[in-house]
Amino acid sequence: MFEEDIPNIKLGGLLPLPIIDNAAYEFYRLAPKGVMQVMISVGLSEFSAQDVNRAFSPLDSYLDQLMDRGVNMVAQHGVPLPILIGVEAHDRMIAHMAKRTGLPASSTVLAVARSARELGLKRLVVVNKWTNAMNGVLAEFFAREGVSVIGKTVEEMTPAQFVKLSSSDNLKLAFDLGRKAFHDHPDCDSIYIGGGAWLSEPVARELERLTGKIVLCNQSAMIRDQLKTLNAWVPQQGHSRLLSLP
Amino acid sequence: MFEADIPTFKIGYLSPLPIIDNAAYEFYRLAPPGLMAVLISVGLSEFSAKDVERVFAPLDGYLDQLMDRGIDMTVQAGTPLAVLMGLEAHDRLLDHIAKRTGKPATSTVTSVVRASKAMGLKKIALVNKWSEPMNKVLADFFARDGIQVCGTSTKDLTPAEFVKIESGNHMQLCYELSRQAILNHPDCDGLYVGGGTWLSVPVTRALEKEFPNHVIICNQTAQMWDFLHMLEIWKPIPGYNKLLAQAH
Repeated sequence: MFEEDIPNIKLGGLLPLPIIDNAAYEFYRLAPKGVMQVMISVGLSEFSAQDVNRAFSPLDSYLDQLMDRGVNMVAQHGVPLPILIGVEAHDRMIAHMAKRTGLPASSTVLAVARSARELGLKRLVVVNKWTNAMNGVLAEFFAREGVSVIGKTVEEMTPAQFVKLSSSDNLKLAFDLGRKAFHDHPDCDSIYIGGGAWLSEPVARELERLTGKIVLCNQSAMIRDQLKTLNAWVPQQGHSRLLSLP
Repeated sequence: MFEADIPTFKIGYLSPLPIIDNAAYEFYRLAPPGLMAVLISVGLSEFSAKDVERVFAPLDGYLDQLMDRGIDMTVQAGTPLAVLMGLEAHDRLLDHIAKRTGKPATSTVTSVVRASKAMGLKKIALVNKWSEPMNKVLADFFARDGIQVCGTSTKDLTPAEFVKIESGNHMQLCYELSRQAILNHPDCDGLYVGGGTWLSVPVTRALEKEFPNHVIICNQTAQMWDFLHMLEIWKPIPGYNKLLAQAH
């Protein structure tokens, strides 16, 4: 009786911060009908490897709770967490998530890097609020997909600082940094706007319109990558190119 | 430049369980464009007053985090928490939330009772997975607004049990318990289908079609109706149920 109302895909997500706002807001603006996000917050409070380890210490319990809700795959959301623990620890964690659940497992950083490779990007500039050291590790994730990070445009901030920015100030900051990235690195073929505390998809769409180049952001990359993993990907128009290209 | 993309109103949610799934899914199916849910899980693990006390111990920390994200109002989501703490403690909690944030505060049970009253309901039956003592307190919430609870149709389960029920089976359970409630209590003029781990909005739509003389209230539609009234931006939302379709 309720076939049309029952979600046909449930995406299990381990979300980084205690508050869930932009992630669900953008997800439900972009995701196809019938796709549900099943979210659990791991409660990261600062950008440190120690805090990432603390946040993931109950990982198996989180995964079991997601399994109880019938998810079709699991994903670790948030790029700062993997780049704080490094490529190898990240890969071990994703392998553990897949083994524990018996389901496909992914992460935001994997989704972004794989999308960049898939779209044939070679020279990318990163735009975010993270430290030099974090961006160094982020470049390694891209490098193994054959994508070179040729520069960065950054306004370094802590989570405690950036969660207090208003939505419009956060959007403007993303847009200004993105535009500066293209201006300062005219030889790049794309930029990646990292971070979930700003609404990045509208910024990606606008910057693509202005520059003609590809702009990657977390939500679009995650939706594309997860639906591709589940063989449910259908390109959709009206958003950034990550979502409109096959 | 991004006017159409920036949220116009943000609802701060103290969400009851560690997992957030149906609440956001149904919220964004119903919400007008620009309405954002800012969710923080308080992590209830069992239906006990002690656990409710535990989850609200860091309340001010939760509220401060919601305020950091620029919310316009707050909701204590989840009826079980309110009925486990009782009317007085619930009212004190809402007063404290409003005072701490300087913003309007509501709760699921408040939204449900207000919506039931607005629909002119006098005698309702309760449909949920809660215990008898919990439903007795719930009846007190309705009683103080002049609404009589004339019966219940329940399947008593713990959160650990009901979170494991598959979505389709859960909706079917919701539908069957609701149908039974109407048939067993023909004198009721409405139902309150409580609980957030089943998708109840489609069930209310189906039941109101099958029983056109009854009004079916559920959490998501009652909350949306209440939020939009509190924010003074109410417009009917057709296509779901009688509550959301009504003009005021």
